[in-house]
Amino acid sequence: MQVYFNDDPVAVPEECSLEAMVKELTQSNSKLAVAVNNTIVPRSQWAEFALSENDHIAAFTLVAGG
Amino acid sequence: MLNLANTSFRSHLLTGTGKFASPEQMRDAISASNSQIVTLALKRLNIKDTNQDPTLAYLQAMDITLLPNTAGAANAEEAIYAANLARELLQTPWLKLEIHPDQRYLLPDPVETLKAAETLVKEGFNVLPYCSADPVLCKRLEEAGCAAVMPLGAPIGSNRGLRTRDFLNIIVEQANVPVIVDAGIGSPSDACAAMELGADGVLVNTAIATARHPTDMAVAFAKAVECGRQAYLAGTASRQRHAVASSPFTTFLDTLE
Repeated sequence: MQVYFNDDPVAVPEECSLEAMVKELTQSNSKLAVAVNNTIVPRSQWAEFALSENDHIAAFTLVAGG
Repeated sequence: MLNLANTSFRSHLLTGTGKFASPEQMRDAISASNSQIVTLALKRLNIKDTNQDPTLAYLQAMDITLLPNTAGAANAEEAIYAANLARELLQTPWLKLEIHPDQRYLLPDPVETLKAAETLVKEGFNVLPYCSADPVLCKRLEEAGCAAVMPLGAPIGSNRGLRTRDFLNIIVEQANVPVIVDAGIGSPSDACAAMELGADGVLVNTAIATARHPTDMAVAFAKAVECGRQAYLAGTASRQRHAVASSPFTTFLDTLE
């Protein structure tokens, strides 16, 4: 099925968890916050969170700033 | 001591991490500043960029409090969303609330900032709002439960100094929470002046990051902030319109007549 990761279309297997997808797409040591359809999903829930067709996943990190 | 949300900090200098030539230069300057509160910004992850940015790792290795900001938020709703992302990322209640819809002057939106502050305080954040140097707004932010107020000296990154000085004086006089002058501080003398007029802290980024020698400038700022604080605590002497002699006028020259 297709989902969107930071607005880019991505194909993922059926019954893909959020954790599996994030692991696949990002470097495992990145510190991230993730939202699905604009709702933040705490890291502790990534493993149980099942993605659905056309979900919009957004991942955020911290960078230098004032 | 700078007391924010029941936490005491020795340093009254808060620093930002943007605009440095490299993460290493940022790390060295922050370390030299002796700053204990350091800001960061949120960004969408770019998965095509495989270079790991060491900024966060460098900062987490230091004994400092990280202060994520909501830069990029144009209204209260976006700022609240950004705040919750930041809390999820760092597991921290500390937050620099900033909402500036206008990109040219980056001036904070007072209405949206107050609205967001009211919600975020209720959600348990230690809210440090970047705001206009408006004494009435600062009072309202204080009443909303903000841990401090952070009025601007001049637009972000402008290095124009304390253009809002008269209003900062009123804010300091009226505030029951710490006042941290944020934005516009261009030189250590500006930082010193802010502390001398009674601010509890200053937040500096551009003036350090874009100096010719950022690490040396960080040291200069640390000294200036301490100097201004000490002068404030010592009680600045009053000003007079006319000369007031510092030496005794004795009559020992009369013998020449």
